[in-house]
Amino acid sequence: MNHEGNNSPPLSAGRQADERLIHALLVHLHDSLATQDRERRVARAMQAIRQSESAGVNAATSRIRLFPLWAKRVAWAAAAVVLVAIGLTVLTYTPQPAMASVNDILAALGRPGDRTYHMTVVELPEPPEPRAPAEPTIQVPRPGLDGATLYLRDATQYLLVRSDPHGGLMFDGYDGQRSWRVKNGQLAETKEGPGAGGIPMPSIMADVPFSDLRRTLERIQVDYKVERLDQTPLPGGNAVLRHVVARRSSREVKGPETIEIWADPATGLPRCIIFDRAKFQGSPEPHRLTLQLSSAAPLAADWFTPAPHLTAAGQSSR
Amino acid sequence: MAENVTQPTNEAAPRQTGPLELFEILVRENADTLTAFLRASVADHAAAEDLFQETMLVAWRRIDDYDRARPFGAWLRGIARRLVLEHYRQVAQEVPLADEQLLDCLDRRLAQFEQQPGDTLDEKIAALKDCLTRLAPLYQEPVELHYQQQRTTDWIAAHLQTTRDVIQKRLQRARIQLAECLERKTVLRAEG
Repeated sequence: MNHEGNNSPPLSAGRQADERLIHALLVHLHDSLATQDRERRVARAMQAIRQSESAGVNAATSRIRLFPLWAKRVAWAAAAVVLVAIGLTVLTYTPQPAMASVNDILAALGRPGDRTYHMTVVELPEPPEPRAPAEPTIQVPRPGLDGATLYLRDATQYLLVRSDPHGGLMFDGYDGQRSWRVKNGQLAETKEGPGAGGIPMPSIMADVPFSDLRRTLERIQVDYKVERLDQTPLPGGNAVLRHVVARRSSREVKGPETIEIWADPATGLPRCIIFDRAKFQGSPEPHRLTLQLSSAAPLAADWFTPAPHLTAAGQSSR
Repeated sequence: MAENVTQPTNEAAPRQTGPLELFEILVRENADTLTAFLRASVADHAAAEDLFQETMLVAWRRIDDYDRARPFGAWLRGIARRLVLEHYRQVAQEVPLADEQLLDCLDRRLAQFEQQPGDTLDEKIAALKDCLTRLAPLYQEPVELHYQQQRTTDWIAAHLQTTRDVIQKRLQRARIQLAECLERKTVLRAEG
């Protein structure tokens, strides 16, 4: 083994702490959204505290010992103002407008039509392992989703085009009845019903045929809380879009931590969907999966069958 | 930056500020440090987020216990520390990333950062940026790719034509070298 082998002595608790801390600080240092995240975090905490206060969960009778007595009256006045403000915010923000927006988006996804999404996947940094690296493992190269293209038709048909790590392109399709795979320009596999099982998708998209984005996003209504709704352009874009950020309501929910959608303000059709901190099948690290709408133009009638891709496989039909 | 809040630490409450508002100011001022503590303590980002929220709820519930002579950030970390240990007790299948000794070390290290000049965590860890520029290229490149460009260790390994284990080791050594650099700058105190 060279000098970069694993035969160094185990780290002391102090050095382990240093390493973890430096990791956390580096993540903070390079997080361009650190300020917004902090504000969101604090706002959530304060909202939870205010809710618990107003629900009478907290017996706050002796709390003011920290503060002078006069502050109590001011605090109640301020709290009343804050509660009114929160109430107004809640009335104007959730659930009606937020859920109306989500419903518009779901309705748009339910409308017939062809959509082409470009996919990007980023693995997010995690703290270092608690102990020395485990036994070396044999890593089998698998086709990933980063850079893939997802074609959808009517929420019933899909085609996923990915780079094959052994060269060329790999096509996984479903024509509504039969799923198939084309590899090296040859029909490699067919099966009755959707066959997305072999594709490493985040669990939220794997529970249902992932072609059905509408059903995937329906989970927002049940398992997620809409925490932001505004009109804003996509980062780097100009057009103002409807922007929805939904956060999973509890740790028990299997799915990405947040789902962020930018949708056309007129039609509700999502231009960009980000599944943040999503766990993929077979991978413990969290990922950020982005689906960016690249086209809503109609595709060829047989696009979701193997035929047009048999000759094009290994070339490019993307 | 957003933290232009004027010296809320342990000062008498301004007349127009209620307890909850004052609490929020203190929370905001210490949020980044607490987040760093939690990120260093638990591997699961979502769990760290939940623990942040739980820490705040417990802190507000126990605000009577807060000794104003002590720094608010250290008091928050004390609560967070107990919640982290409780988290590991509840989630038995998760390999604990931190035990009591390690959490104590983390707390001491963050307390040392807090003594640095500046109002925000970014200002207090300015020395870390300088240490980053002093890393050898062998370590600087993977650190930049991993943290700045958010590349996976697999991607970096392929890019630098080496293995994932080597990249993980380089990242680990880089983090330790950065800690040693901070000790040389006396930002952190060497522990025996």
